Amino acid sequence: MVRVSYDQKPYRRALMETYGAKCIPSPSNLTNAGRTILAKRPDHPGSLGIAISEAVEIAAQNDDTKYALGSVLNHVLLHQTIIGIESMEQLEMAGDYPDIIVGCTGGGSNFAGIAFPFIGAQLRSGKKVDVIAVEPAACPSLTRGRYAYDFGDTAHLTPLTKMHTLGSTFTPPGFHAGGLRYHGMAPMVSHLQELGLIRSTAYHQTKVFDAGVQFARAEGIVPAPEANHAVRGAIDEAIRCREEGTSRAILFNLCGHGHFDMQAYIDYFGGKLKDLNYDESELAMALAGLPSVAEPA
Amino acid sequence: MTDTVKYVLDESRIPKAWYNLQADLPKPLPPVLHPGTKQPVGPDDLAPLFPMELIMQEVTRERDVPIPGPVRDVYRQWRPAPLYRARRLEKALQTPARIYYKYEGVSPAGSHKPNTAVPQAF
Repeated sequence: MVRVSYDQKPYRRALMETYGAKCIPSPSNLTNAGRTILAKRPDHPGSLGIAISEAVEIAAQNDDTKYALGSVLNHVLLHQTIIGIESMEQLEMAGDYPDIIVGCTGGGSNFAGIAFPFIGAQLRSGKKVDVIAVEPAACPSLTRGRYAYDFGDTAHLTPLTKMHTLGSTFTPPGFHAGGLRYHGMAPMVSHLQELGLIRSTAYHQTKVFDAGVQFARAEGIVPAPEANHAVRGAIDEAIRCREEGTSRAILFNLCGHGHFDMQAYIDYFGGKLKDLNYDESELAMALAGLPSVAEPA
Repeated sequence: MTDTVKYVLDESRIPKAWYNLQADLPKPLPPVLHPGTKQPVGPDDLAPLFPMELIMQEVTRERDVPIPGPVRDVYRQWRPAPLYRARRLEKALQTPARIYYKYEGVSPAGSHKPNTAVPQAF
């Protein structure tokens, strides 16, 4: 578990322990990848890229251990498509079809889950949808990253995939939507942006929480900080409809509730939520470190 | 029916297959490369990290990938997830837009993550 989340989200950790898991903060001293990072910076906050290196290292060394991941790869995106398939049936019950689909993106899985079945329908039958990926301005892989071959992890143990990336050594600042703090984007989502089948936009976290609180006060459900990005995107599209006087159907994915993230809300109400900026020089350095790959034709 | 808030599907309507967008892409994905040789990887290269069944799901071009029965049975603990019409938010925003949201917070973990955690563990 990424160190900053391990500390910021003790209840998330306790939930995993309730199900019998053992949680180890990353970077840890159990792997070469972790020890290398800690030697350079003992108080390193960690990143998903580092945690992946540690997990992959252990999986590669042990025959009885496999690596399970939360996003990015095709099969994970595939599993999440159940979200969009169900939504399509439910919208049919409502007698409606989305003009606009909004999802938040970190590695891309919940976004893919809601959007892919509709993008597929568009490709097969021409039913047009405007699909928007919303990401944090502090970790903007789709809007600011480069489309290039890169590693999925910090220690460069994973295969290389072509994706929008901020560079595998990039450590995003510790903003609250931990699930969106990843340097790369799912290759399939990146590919769709290159093909012009989706577009992307980025918001700072205070604007994102403004939307989440507005949503909770109207609908009752308190969204996770990650989901607040999608709420922001959907609300802005709804406001655009009001200004243009058009009635469009907007579908967004409320990918999780925020009960484990109430500290983020406490910080927001206390005025302590900062719009963190990533370090431009660190981004430049991380991008300069992209592996050189002779692209297959 | 016109003021419905939640659109709820019966358990029996949990999808029997996941949808694979690779089947419909106008241009295939660029290949995945080996970190050492920088040549396209084959399924065997990935075998130390992933179970073979998941590797096959990673590369298949089949449009419908069947959801194994035991996975579907576990999905029944929280799926199908409800689709909401955000009528109160629409009113608050005074928008003519029709806003719908799919709520994945109904899973035991409170997010969409178990949708993939369960089949990966299986």
